[in-house]
Amino acid sequence: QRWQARDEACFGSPANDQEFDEEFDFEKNLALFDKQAVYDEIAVQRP
Amino acid sequence: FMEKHLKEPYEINLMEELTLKGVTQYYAFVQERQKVHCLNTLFSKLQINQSIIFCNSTQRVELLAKKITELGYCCYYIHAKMAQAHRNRVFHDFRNGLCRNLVCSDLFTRGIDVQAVNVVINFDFPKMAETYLHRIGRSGRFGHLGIAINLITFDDRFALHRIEQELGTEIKPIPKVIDPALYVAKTLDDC
Repeated sequence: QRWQARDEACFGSPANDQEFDEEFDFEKNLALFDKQAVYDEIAVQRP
Repeated sequence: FMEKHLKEPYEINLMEELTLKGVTQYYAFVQERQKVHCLNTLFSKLQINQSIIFCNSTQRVELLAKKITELGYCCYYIHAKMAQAHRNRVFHDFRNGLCRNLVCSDLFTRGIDVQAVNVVINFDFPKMAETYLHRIGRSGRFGHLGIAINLITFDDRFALHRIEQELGTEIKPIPKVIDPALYVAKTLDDC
């Protein structure tokens, strides 16, 4: 069921979605993921 | 098994033939619902000669191929649940350049050896380093330029960390502008 929800989130919206007229904002999204901080956290969890 | 049946075997590790050399690896951070939008932007921005796009299940291969077609791009798809003869024919046509994009699950056991493929996209990030290497790695003979773009969700963070560590490689955040020199073959005009 988790997979189903994932597929629905991914493929559910129509291909002519207005959002697609604009470019995907890579920079804005990258800013949501601090790779180093996440890695540091993983390192702490698995010493 | 080896000791019992083989006399003085000559051992080689075929994994070593696959290399990430020449492949520039990037990641884009996305949510599941943003993946198709992100892919659409990549298609419009990148200079794709031919591309292979990997998904983690046969179901998602079919869903994505349908979506890409709706977006107005030509694409073929192959996955493990298709008959081998059918898969062969599709791959043969792809190799001959009849279509620019191929969506697939993990079928290649020796890495991709289609020279014209300059962009590989992991629409779904794999869990295992070995899978990643098979998708992105090139066999020595064809070790030429290309880029790999990984769509990473928050759930993929552990796999990303593990795969970078196990392969001793770095997957960098996708830059605003990707230098064409990293993946676009020079045409005569450029020389």
